[in-house]
Amino acid sequence: MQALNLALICGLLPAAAAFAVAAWLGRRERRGAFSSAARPAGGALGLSLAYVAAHLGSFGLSGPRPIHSWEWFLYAMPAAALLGAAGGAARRTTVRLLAGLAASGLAGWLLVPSWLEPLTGWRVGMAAGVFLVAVAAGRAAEAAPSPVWPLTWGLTSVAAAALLVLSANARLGQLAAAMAAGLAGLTFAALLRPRSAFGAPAALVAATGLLGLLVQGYASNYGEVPPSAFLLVGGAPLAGCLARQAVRSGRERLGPRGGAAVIAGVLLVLALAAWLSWPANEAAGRTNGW
Amino acid sequence: MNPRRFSFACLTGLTLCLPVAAAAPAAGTSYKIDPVHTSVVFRIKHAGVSYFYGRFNKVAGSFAFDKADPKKAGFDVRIRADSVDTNDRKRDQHLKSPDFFNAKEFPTISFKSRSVESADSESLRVTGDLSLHGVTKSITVEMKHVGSTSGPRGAKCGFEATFTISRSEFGITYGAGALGDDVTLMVGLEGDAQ
Repeated sequence: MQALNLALICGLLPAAAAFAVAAWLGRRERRGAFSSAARPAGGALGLSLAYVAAHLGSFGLSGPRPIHSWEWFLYAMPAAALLGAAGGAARRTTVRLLAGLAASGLAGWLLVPSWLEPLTGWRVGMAAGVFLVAVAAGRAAEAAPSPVWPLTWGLTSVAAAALLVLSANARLGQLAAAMAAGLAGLTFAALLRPRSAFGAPAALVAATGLLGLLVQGYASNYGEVPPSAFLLVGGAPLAGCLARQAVRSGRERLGPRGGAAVIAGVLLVLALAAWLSWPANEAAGRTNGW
Repeated sequence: MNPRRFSFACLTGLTLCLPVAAAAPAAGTSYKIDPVHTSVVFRIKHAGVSYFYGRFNKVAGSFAFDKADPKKAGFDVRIRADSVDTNDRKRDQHLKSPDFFNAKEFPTISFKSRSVESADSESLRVTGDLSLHGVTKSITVEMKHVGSTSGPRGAKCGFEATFTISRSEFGITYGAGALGDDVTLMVGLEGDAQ
């Protein structure tokens, strides 16, 4: 029964929520309900809703002011979605840039655990990492819309979930799995509406969630998972963007060759992270646990 | 100086300096917790079929005790959350993680007494604040005075307490169903007079 609840709350619910919001907003935009500039907001809002639903369904809310550092995701994810959507709808590049910087800065401030030192360095690094990954992934997704982008983000989130469980953080792993489910929902939505399901705003939300969970997991890493594995998984979406650039033939569409290159690039980096984590995986197998 | 007078003076001084054997500690004596002879053990139900035990290895703090006036007693006990030990490395790692004690964010489990009254001739009813996992709650614990003694190495005093808490009240809800909500703690304190 517990396994069924877990599958529903962290699997089906976030996937359905993300798909529903992205597909519905994409359809409304197509019917002229609002400007096409707001098109990519559906993916961001859907992914944020997916995460919040899974988080509240699994762990509830301790109070308006979080007690634990991982509870700040409930504020950081919707903030990233709203700022990303606002930035995505703006015509001026400056406004888009400021929205991205604001969301990244907020992620750095809220999601870096207070016991990491040097704290300011970590916060700046986190903010820079979220901004860099979100900009690169967002530009790649908007230049060549395709279900491949949310698919590779979903694969990365699955890898992050496995890494977090190996580092003895099952709760954080559960939240990463919920993100993967939300991204699976966006993948399906992107099959119908590739331009609206996953753009720069969704990339910002995904980067906030993925990097935030990895930093939290690293900060509470009691397993034998090496720091390099956390870095590689966090950077996997960038590998996809680089792979796309490497095979780009000047055409904007992400054809089969381009899609395969993106997936291969991401999987290569994730495989390296898995190889580096192998000693931790072996150690986990040798002891009984519960 | 006359050698006989010198010997007599030394003997007198030594006698005066030596603590009297088997004398009770002074009233309101403060004791520093002896971590080597203090134990904190916990018990929780596993899978509804058995009780599972673990312990904390790092305990520190102090207490005060006056047998003549129990209300003068006080307890300040601090436990390192990351010293949890269940004889299984992977399980210990999991217990330290945010799923359970979240030892990096909340490194110390503490109990600080606020009021003490006499329960019977050998026990104290101690009310204080238990801080665990970022949550502080008031609990009342019956502390049994096991014994007090004095010797060449100083005065010692010991207490024992067994009490049960609900882990969900302290925000530790992971594994509900597989693990029970009630956690019984058995604490054996030994202190050295300060």
